[in-house]
Amino acid sequence: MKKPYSEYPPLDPNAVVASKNGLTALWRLMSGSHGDYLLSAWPRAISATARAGLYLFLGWFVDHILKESRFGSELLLSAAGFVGLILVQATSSFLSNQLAAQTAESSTRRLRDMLFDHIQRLSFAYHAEVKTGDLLERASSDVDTLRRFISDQAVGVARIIAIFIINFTAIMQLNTRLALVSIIIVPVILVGSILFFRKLSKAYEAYQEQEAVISTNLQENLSGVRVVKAFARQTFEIDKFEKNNYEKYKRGRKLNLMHSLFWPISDTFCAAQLVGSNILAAFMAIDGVITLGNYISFTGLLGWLIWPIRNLGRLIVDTSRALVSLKRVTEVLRVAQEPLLEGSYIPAQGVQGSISFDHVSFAYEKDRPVLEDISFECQAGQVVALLGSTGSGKTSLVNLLPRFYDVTAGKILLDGVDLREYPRHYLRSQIGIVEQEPFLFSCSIRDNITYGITREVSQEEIEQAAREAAIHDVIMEFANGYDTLVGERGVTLSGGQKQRVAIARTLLINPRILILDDSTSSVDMETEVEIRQALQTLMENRTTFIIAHRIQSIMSADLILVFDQGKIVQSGTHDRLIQQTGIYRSIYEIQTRIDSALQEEIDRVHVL
Amino acid sequence: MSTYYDENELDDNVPIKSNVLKRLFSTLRPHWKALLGGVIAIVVVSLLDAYFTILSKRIIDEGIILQNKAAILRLFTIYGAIVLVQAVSVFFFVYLVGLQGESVRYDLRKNLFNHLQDLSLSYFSKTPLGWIMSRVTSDTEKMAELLTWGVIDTAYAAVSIVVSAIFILTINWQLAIIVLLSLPVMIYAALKFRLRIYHHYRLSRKANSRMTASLNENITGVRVVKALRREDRNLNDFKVLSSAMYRSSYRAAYLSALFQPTIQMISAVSLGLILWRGGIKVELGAITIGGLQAFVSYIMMILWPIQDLARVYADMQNAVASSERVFSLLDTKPGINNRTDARQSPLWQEILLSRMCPSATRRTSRLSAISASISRTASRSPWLDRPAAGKRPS
Repeated sequence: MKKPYSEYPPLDPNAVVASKNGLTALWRLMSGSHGDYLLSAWPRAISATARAGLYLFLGWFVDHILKESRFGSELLLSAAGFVGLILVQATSSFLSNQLAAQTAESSTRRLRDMLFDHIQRLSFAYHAEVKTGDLLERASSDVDTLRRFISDQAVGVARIIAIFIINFTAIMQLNTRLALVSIIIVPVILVGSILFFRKLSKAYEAYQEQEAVISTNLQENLSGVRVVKAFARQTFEIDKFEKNNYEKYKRGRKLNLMHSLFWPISDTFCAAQLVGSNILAAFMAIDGVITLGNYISFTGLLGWLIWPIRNLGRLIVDTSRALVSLKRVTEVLRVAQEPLLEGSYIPAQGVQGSISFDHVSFAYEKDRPVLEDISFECQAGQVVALLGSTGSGKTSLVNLLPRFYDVTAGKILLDGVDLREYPRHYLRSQIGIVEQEPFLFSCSIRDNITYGITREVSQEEIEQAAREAAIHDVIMEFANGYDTLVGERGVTLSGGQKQRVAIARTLLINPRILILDDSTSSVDMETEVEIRQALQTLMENRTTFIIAHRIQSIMSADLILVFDQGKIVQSGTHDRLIQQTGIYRSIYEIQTRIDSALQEEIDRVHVL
Repeated sequence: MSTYYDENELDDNVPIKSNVLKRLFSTLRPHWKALLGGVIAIVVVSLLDAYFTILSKRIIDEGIILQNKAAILRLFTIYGAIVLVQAVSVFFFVYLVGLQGESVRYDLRKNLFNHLQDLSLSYFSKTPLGWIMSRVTSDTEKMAELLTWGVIDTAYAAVSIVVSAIFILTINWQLAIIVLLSLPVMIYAALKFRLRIYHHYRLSRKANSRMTASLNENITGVRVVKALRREDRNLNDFKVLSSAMYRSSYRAAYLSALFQPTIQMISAVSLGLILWRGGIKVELGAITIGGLQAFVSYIMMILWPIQDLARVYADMQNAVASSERVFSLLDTKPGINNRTDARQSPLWQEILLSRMCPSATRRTSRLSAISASISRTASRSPWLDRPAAGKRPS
């Protein structure tokens, strides 16, 4: 019954998103499993019928076998029939649950895969706006809610309705008046439970929100344990946590009170119905309107008619929550993916690396310009340095090069061709980025260094890149060498070490264009020397854009661009700029002063 | 449900050590009154449940068969009264047990958090944050579950089984033997199933946390993913994880779907036997029709709790494993760095070392050797001559 994964059609996000309402969308999500799901409905009906049949059979057994004293082979056959009915009920129940589970699991697997792929292909602008935690929740816990809906709740609703219809019909067969009297309480219970579970849902959400608050509180406290100890804030932290902890206790208490009131009260209502109907049925049995066997069947059937109604209320409320989750998931699916292959120009001889900006402007939103009228040129292999305060547009400019964003006015030319003609996929293979805080993945060091390479790489090539990045010796000191895992499960690298792995990674890619996002301002001075050497190696023969905060890093650049509020205010080489009065000179002077003061202090400690 | 799940946890085959259990239950001590109230209430509910069955029997035998309408009214009035008493009891037990559950959770979280504030920095350097988070959020949950619902379910099941067994033995001991003989098979099957289902469920939770971690990493590092054109390969890597999740999740669901029908089949055989032999006994007047119906009901009251007990046992393994981890955290002593004779707070040591030792890994291994010399020299440096901002143990 299980199809191999490859035979399921891949999910199409557009089809899902185009659905008019939630349930249709959910149906489309289950494509490929429709047969299984519908198939699971039949055993469910059979199971409900078999269960009702059991009670009817019990009644028949009492009337025709026990009362009429047929204790011979009929008794044995009846007992065997009884076992047979249970067998039918058990088997069909198993089948329907198994098919439903299969549908749920395979649908959610495809949904997860689809979401993963979709999210990573969304535009950089989207990622910059959206919180990671929010996306993560939609892709994991909302998907899980949908899974539970398909496998439990949808099935549960269908099952209860099926049982209700079948049992009601069975009771009708016994006696119409009895049947009608017996369901008086049903609408009351149903409405009551829907109302209750709706309220409960809200209280439960509040409870879970508080749990998230506690989680965040704890995480912040643990991550910042050094700060807490340094500033002796333990008492403050304990008090803060105490408040959050107690709040969760209070909300849990409220939730609990709601539960402890609902069940007994609804129990009483249901019991009242049962008592009333049973009295009526008993009188009818005495008066001969129905038989004793009928009475026994009736009591069994009635129980299954009434008690599940409360759960129906719960399931209906759960369904509305599942539809909320569905909406959250489809919201993500609605966002358009980044067109990676759009653009047709791929130079036969590869990229040289001469870049020119021609009156380029860029804004994230209409009236908040980030870059205004930027124009400059650089030849292949040159070093361009970008200097300026935070928010002056430096990072935004370099983000335009791999086409994370596109310009809003003007154009950028790469080797004389408009950047938009190059497909993003190709373009990014020619550009290497070393970030200020390099991001390494939790895999082995070797895998991290080869992260951007698609072809087979030999160990020598990897080690060569690592040597040039001045990280090879450090790697060999680890117990597992290049196989050492990075991250919590493995070794935690220092900032400088991460930098050098990232540099090795970039070296291996061998791009023509390099973007360095002030790679040395956040590490200590000893490591900086090693990194600087590695960076020098990296920058040879590559067009390099350096975003720098410190003059020391860029004094030898071929072109220095000084930014202020999105515009270039100064440009030229170091020697020319140092002679002009302006931002550049001021920054240079301040930084030189700070550096020498710092050096003095450190020298003093070294002396001791 | 907490999102932090320790990869290395797989709480199978955890021996249930009595000293851990004892310590676990001692956390209930401040709340013993609520627990007692809850247990009393649930025992009342359980006894009343058993009594309902007797009432049903009497209704059939004394009311319908003897054609006594007055008796029926009388019996149903008693039934109604019992329903009300039971409703009140249910209120109490749900309220008290729930309250106690929240109190236990609150206590455990508080104790853990406060203890964590005392631990040394070296503890935090070598213990992953996710591991600690798991202890405080998800392990305390499992412990509280066992201490509250675990106890209640066991009490209910025990009373149910004992009372029902007594009743069926009184109604007709020969039939009762048939039932009681099938119990060991039932218990064994129920236990085996539960443990297998839990095993796969835990595997699926592990797979789930791996998947979530991978997704998290992909989203956080999306810039690198795009810059290095890793979309296709990362998708393939992810598919491996989602497949693993699918397999274990489906297996758990499959076994769950199989569980109850299997138990039903086992009970069906003994029920069939009861009906056959019981039918014969009705003929012989050894049992009334009402008695037979009551008998069947009591059997149900033995069988369902057995499945519950299997679940409680499986939960107990979980809870014991969780308790061990939580207690090990609570037993971790605050580190040597906080001795009263420490000259420097550990924080300043770390800052100094990060300026002087290039490698983080080398730093931690040389910590103790260097700390001694630094505290000697630093006491003379003007740069470090500040009021101690670190912890002074009070």
